[in-house]
Amino acid sequence: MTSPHPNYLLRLRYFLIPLCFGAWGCVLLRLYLSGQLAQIQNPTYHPFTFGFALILIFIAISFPLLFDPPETTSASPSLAALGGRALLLLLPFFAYLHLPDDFISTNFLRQRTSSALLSPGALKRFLPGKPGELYRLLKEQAETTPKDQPVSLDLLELIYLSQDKQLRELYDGHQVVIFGQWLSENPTQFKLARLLIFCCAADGRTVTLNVHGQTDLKDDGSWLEVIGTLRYDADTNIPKLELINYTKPEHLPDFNM
Amino acid sequence: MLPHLPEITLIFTSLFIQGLPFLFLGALISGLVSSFLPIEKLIAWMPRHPLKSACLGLCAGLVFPSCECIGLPLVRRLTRKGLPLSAGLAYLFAGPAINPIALSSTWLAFSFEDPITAICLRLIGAILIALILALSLHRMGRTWVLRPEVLATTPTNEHLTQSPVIAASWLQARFPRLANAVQITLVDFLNVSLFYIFGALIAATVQTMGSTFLNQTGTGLLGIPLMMLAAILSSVCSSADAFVAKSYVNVSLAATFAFLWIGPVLDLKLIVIYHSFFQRRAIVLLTILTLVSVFLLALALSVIPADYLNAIYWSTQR
Repeated sequence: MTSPHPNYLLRLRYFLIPLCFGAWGCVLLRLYLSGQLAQIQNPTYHPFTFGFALILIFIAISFPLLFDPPETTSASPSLAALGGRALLLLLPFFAYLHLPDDFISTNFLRQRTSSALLSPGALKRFLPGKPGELYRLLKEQAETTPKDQPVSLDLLELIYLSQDKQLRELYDGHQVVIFGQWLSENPTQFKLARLLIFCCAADGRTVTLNVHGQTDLKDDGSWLEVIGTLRYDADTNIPKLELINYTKPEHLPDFNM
Repeated sequence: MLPHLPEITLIFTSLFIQGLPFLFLGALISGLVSSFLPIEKLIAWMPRHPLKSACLGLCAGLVFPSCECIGLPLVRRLTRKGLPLSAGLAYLFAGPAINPIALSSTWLAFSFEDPITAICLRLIGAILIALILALSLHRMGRTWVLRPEVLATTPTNEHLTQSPVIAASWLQARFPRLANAVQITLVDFLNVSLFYIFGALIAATVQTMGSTFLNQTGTGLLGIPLMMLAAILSSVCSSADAFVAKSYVNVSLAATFAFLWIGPVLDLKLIVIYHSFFQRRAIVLLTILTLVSVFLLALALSVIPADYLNAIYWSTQR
């Protein structure tokens, strides 16, 4: 179907390019500058996203200067085809507008929860440095600190050390401080969770730690700093924490997600 | 579907953000290659034998850092210029899995076990699958496999005035080759982006609806199809898929490699993006061939005695 207003549609199609590029570029730039990008993309890719946002905005601005609309004798697109194309190209912009302030819902966290521990190979994405170095640091920390004096542990470090028999023995019964997101479980137990993003949120996986104790929290997903005693059952490497105290942190730690 | 809308939106946005810069990079490379390199001469120099040209495509995949998103616009454009089908397809299917970035992430992910064996397994599987797909599709012929607009060959330097979308003005007058490269980049990028956005939407919807399958793992032979399904659903970029594969614990080595072999060739968003290049019947054939060959390869891996592979099998009960 050809339109009765070819010039009008040709111009619309011409302006669709800078419009889309501008909208996409602004979304990416805002995500990057607001720090929200860390919620949906691994930091390895942030420079690409930032650079690409600038390129898109540059193209959007310079496009009318560099290119003219096509000849009016060109075949005019149909209104339906052009409308469908515009809708699809602008869909990411509308999707961004629909996203809530806190991107990661507790529903999303729960969907991606696995009770099993992640293998150390998967953790390499988030715990840089030589494996031996982390092992040495964790061992030294446990040996130089009395068991009743809490040591700070990242949830990923805890998963790493839980898979080594010697480190498990050193940390069993040790008081630790761990950050994570609160997920309700039952009246006597809750989970401390962290979402790991390997590439983007589509491949996100939630790691959790079972904590025995009660909190008066209501909102799933609240960030929490938990102090507790680490325990391992004799025949398993799955850690659990006996709650001593908890606080809601004012500032979140800078996770290398 | 509405209760899941926030999760669908989140996954869709993240896939869009993740893939788009690399799609653009692919389109930019294709624009620059088409406009500044004597590509017809290079193509004329290439061997006509399908296996030989496929091997050349594999070599390119080993050398150039690329992912699924970079490869497609480039292969699409070069195929229009007359690149042998088997060479382009071998690069398209193997490149994302065997390029230096994918191999280095495989090395890191398996660094606690035996990374060399892991890399060898990944390379062998990816190359075999790419060869099976490239040679099979080559045998079917270009007109059977490719979309009509890809079949329409174009001269080396298309003129901007031929474009139905934009016409050159300032840039064309001063830098005609650069103007040509920019035009090809923009047009290719927009064309593939349309498919990518649609693919990301489908992938986000199906992944959210079928999220229970994402964490499903099985022991024995059942583990292989479950991990293949997880790879197809999760649409992971090949630059990081080794870490994701290692995040599934208590799965067999064969199932882990089934995940790594199928992901760079076939996932929900890729199936949609392939529509910018292939005819629908070719996508059906490609899907069936990929599923069967990955399953059979993983099956072959699973019957290798465990003693030979214990070195790279991570036991959580260590």
